[in-house]
Amino acid sequence: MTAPVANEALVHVDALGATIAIALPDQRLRAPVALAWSACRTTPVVECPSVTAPELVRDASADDVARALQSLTQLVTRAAILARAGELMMFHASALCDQRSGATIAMVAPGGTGKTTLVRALGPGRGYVTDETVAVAADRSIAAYSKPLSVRRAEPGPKDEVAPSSLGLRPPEVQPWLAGMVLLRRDREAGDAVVVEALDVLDALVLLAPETSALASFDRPLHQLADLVESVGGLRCVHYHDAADVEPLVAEVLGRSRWATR
Amino acid sequence: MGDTVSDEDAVLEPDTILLQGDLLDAYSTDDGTVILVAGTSGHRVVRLSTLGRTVHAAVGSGRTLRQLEVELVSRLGDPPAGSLSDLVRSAVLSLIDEGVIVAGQVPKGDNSGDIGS
Repeated sequence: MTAPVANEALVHVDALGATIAIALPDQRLRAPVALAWSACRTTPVVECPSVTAPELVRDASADDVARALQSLTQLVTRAAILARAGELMMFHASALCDQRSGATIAMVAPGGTGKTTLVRALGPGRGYVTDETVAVAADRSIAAYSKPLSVRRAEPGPKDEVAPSSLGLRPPEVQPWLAGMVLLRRDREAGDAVVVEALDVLDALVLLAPETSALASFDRPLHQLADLVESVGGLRCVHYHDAADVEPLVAEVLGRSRWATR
Repeated sequence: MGDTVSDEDAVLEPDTILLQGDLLDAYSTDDGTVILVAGTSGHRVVRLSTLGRTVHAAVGSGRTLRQLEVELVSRLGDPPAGSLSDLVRSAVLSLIDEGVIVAGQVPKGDNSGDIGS
């Protein structure tokens, strides 16, 4: 990680293990981008994929800035996914890791269904791997993407792109590796007990595949996905209401040993 | 994919040619089969029923609906109840809807239905 400089027109970030150059022609975005992406900053790489941040209108409001930052995050994510397609199995998921062992839980869910809320609630004291895309190599090592968290406001409006450090989150300090996967379903009522349901591998494929990116880039994609699911002891679906309900499951997966799950 | 019709306008006639969809992978266990098919609006993963699997396999490299009925009877025997044509049509429409098989155009002026198998 390199120290953020507030007025750079070009910054480089590590996203899913790919270096992405972000061009910032609009000066007003440079400081907020430097802050929001501070956990991902990396050294420049020649001829790496690049994206250009949107330019703001002349009298841009704070909401306009937030929208531009949100668009920029989407551009970076897309560029990173494209760069790693066919190399890493990528899921729409948030993830936390144990800061000593690197054991990581991937919490798979469609957008807007609680991924960011979970990592905000359960992430302090753990490694923040991502709130958006989990990218897993064949050996189950994970390319972290400690991007700004996309935080929904209480009132209507764009999401805010917030630096992990501003929310008490730290990027992984050791190499994360996939120890377990769960599918999130926030469909319980307040006060209901959390329900954890083991899924057979065929159901897991049907439910996971729509939450993958570039799955078809792999040779025999369903077999590779099935192998990954089985290597971590299968997929479980967690029906919950409050983020705190998921804590025991997160603790259990982060307590796993790589020796035991291979 | 050539002259095919989408699920929205699929009109199945006895001579409609049925083809397997663009299958990217299939994964089977004792409990069933899941397939990944390519589609115009992205890829789709479908868990096939036993009947669905049989229909998909029976379509093979291409059969008319009429030929498929004959093939399914040879593989499964006569249906225990209901009309064979209705059962096959219903299964085929469902698989077309999922992109598992595609319906080609009925050749104009050709009512033989003999496309080989």
